[in-house]
Amino acid sequence: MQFNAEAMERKISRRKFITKTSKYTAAMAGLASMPGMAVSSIFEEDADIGIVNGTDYYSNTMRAIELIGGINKYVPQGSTVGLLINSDFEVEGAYVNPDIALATIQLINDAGADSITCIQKVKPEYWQRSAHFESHKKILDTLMQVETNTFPSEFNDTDFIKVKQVKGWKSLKETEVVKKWLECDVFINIAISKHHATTLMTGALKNIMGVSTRKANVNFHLGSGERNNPIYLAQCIVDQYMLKKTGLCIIDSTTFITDNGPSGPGTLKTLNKIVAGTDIVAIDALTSEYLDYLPEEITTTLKAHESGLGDMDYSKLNIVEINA
Amino acid sequence: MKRIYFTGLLLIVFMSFSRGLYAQQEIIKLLPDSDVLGNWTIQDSAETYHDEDLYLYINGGADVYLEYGFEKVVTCRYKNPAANRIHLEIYQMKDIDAAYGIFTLNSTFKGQPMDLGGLSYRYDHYMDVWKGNCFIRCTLTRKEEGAQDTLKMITQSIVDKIEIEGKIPLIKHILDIEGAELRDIKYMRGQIALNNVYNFGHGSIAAFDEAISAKTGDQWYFVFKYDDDRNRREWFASAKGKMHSHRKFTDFVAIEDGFTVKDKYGKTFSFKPYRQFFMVAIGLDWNEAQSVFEQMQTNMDRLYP
Repeated sequence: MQFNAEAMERKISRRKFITKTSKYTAAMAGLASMPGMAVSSIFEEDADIGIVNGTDYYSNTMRAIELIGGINKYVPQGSTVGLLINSDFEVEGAYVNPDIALATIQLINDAGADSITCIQKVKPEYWQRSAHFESHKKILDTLMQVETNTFPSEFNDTDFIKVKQVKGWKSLKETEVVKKWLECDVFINIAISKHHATTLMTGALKNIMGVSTRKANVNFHLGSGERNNPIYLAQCIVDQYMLKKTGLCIIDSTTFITDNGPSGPGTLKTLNKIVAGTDIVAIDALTSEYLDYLPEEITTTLKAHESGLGDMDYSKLNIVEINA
Repeated sequence: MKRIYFTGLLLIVFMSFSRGLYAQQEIIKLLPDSDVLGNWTIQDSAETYHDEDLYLYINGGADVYLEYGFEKVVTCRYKNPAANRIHLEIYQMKDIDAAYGIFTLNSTFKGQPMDLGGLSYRYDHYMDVWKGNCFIRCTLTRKEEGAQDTLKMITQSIVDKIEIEGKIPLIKHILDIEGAELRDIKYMRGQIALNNVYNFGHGSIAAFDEAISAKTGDQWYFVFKYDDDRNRREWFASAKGKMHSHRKFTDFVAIEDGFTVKDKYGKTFSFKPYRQFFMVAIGLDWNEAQSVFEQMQTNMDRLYP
């Protein structure tokens, strides 16, 4: 699949994008906060990507998911859910705001999921950073975790599986991934759009490195024979992503670092945006612009697009953006 | 012959191992002595990581340390009776410039300068120090009365043990421009560090030996240094071509031997080559940038005769 940047630019200049979304913004200004009013009910069809602007991150996460059809569209009753949250950093703007993760967990629970498993271990102090922590203790107690998938994770037969020579892989020869990631009915990827020195941006695609062992990830960096070949690294991420489709993706673009990533500290940018959708290539393309990159500058996005895993020309999608 | 070859190989392996062990003991010796720690005690024993093992220590971001020239890191955690924790990291880089570079890359405008080591900053809950070929970071888990003093005592004791004195890389002094109060100074040695500072567009500026950048007022200056004038010419021509065609920049104008472009915010980027360097002034149009470029060129001639 070839990406035509100029065509995309013609189709969706910034002004056109805002025009397209402003009617929804206007409609939502009065309706979004009305009790009992489902956000999606005022639109003819579900959005492909929902964006909610505002500072109540907990409620806005729920609204963003509602814009794309509501949680029941993605999490059938009785399903097993695998959750990957970019949580393991200590500096603000380097990790997903816990309010966003808690709101998603609440929705999954309300949808009647059989189980929710954190594919990568989330430390207790992460949840404690949220003002909603106390009111969600019960749900958090029911969460399962892949305890051994914590940095620097090592392979073990119980939690990990070796995957070799998958058809369609271009760079990866072998990887070691969490079994529960492959086994879950619904995979939900909760990432943050932030700077990364090697890949320029950590978004939904880069977050996929959270499902593999450290040894596998180091191979992404060094396996080409040339240290930190960005193209090899990006293709390995894309190859690994091919193993499991993302059922739902939430991106934290509320406050994020725009340099010195992925761990920071860095320059913070606040946009107060929460983005939800299923095409993580389109979502990464869209959110890379929040960091002043062009979608094609992010090699993971470009490689995933070329591999047919999504469409970085997000202008083809129905994007609904509202101010809460 | 085979036996001599094998014995030689064993000797090399043994020498490498011995050197590694010696080096490891040396860096561990930089850790603070117990008399400095007061009521803080070691929580976990110190750990040392060498070369590419850094990937097992840093979760994201090891690449840039390796690009600068990383040798080893010793890390140790301490706790006090109030269950507060201090995390100490001493990075030993391959040379002084590499340690200075990683220090500048980690520094932010929020830092308060301290009189410690070659350069140091105090932040809300951590301290960064550069001395010689070492970069030291000492982090407190939570604020506590008197804990900042402990951080300072710990870092001071490490600084006292580092025998190497370091000078700021020569290239930094190219930015010594009259009346310019420089901030956010960054010393870079490769593409990953540059990506951390500013993205000129993928591959637009590459293959430089070293670079320096700093902000002053609304302006931002970059100087890229190449091996020699021939190399610089080749890469400057490449940068010119790439930035001309890059979707991120508009209004390309070729002027004399340099060029200008604008970003989406309408900010002008002026590029000018000189000897084995090329200079970038952001926030100044071509005419305004000339006096800055002239001062930089004078500094280049003085520093690199």
